[in-house]
Amino acid sequence: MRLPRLAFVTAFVAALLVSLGSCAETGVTPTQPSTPRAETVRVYAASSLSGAAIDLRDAYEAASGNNAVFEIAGSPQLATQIENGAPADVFVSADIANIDRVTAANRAAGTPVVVARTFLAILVSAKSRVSIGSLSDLAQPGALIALGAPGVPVGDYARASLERAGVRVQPVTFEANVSGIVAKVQLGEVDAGIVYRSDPFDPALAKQVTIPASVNVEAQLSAVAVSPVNTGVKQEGSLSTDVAQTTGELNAAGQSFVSFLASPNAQAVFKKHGFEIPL
Amino acid sequence: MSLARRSAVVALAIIPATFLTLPLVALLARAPWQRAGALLSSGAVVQSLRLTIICSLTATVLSVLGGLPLSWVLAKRNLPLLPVVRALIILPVVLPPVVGGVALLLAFGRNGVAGQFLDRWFGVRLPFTTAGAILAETFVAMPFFVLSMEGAFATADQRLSDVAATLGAPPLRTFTSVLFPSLRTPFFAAAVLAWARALGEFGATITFAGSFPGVSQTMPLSVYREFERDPEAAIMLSLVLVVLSLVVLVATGRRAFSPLKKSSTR
Repeated sequence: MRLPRLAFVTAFVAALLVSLGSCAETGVTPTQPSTPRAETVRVYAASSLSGAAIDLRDAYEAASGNNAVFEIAGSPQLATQIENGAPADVFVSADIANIDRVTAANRAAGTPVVVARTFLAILVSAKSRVSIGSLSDLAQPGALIALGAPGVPVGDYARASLERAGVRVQPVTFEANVSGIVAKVQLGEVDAGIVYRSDPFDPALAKQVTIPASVNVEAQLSAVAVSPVNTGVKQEGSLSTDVAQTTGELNAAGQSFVSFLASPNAQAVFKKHGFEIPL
Repeated sequence: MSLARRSAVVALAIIPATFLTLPLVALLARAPWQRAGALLSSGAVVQSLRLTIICSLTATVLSVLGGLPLSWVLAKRNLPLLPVVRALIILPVVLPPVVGGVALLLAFGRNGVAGQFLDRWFGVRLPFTTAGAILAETFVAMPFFVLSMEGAFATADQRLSDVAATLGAPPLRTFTSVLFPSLRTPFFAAAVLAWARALGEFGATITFAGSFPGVSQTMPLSVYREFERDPEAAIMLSLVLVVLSLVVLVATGRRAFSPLKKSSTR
């Protein structure tokens, strides 16, 4: 009676450990450098790309035969994940600063490329209680404004633009990515927010107000291939004070996606979604 | 149990014990101690800590005020559809807090089903305010209080209340001088449980109250925020929360978090 139960428990624990092991990222398997690791390219993309992601994926898959999966979040959030060993193949950031973080963590596999450009716009809720037609209207008392948090590209660009316009805005919330701003504007919980001109929105829920070029700020969407996490090497990312030992190992699959983003194919997708193509 | 079998069990217990404690050790090991003073005395940290304590304590008081009558009614077990009512009230215990945050926004937001009237009639706006952060924390914390207190009320010695009633004590008097004093320990435990839940609240708060320093950015939100910008600062902030939690756990742990004992040992 005792023995079978013990055997069962042992088997269960063993099965659990095995499944845990296979779920965790197997960092111990030696990988061949500079060979495509997988048919699937993992693209860590800034929230500003959320509207274009599906079309980009489809165009890439049609052109390359590879698969692409998107992880979409705020640029600094993705940069932190990559610094800490996230299995990204490509990082598309809404600014250069977050690309630099990945480079500093020795996970950039190649040179960053500017793949698209966009500008800021004011997104005003259809349920706004105040009238907003310009940046200075954002400063009126009682206006509920959402901005990106410090370090989040759309927030930093917005602060630069407000500074150029000489407008001081007291937001009610700092969002972690641009999608959070769009969501809260469309829901009518804030009156307006500063987003990208290229951000999709529902015209029934919000309208876009143009920011004049003289005080607008250009956002450069930059892409870089990401090195695989080195095997057998201490992975300490940004938390470590000693220099990480990952030395920008090449990532062919990631590089192919970055090249694709710069191709006329992808540029057409960017244009369709309201981005400008790089000069 | 034989010695061999006992040591086998102990060996099996070491693995999960390590799993549970190692992350805390790692926080200590990687903490930037040379920056600790500067990081902890910065205005932002003090502000966030202050906000966290104010919000979590207020949420606890609200949970107690609302949870006492609620748990008492649930414990009476003579409500129609009690299992359904009970499940709905306890739901936030199981519900992912971020879902709670979205639901709160739809209910108490400026255009929410109830919030639009709060706004129109009273000019009260909850989202993106400190009151909103407290509301979000209360939403997730109160069910924990109700859950523990319901059990306490249900197992309380009904005879004591009956005796008080036969002696002519009105129901409120029975509650305050007989029933409640006999439940002081579980009451305290339930309140601490609710407070602990409020202290760590993240998902509902960031969704409903946003994240703004001094208004709604409590310590868990600060940790999340800083981890993207300055991981060392995030570690120090985390340690503050660890210390705060440990102090409460040690100070109240014997009563609040120990296994239930028979009422005679109380």
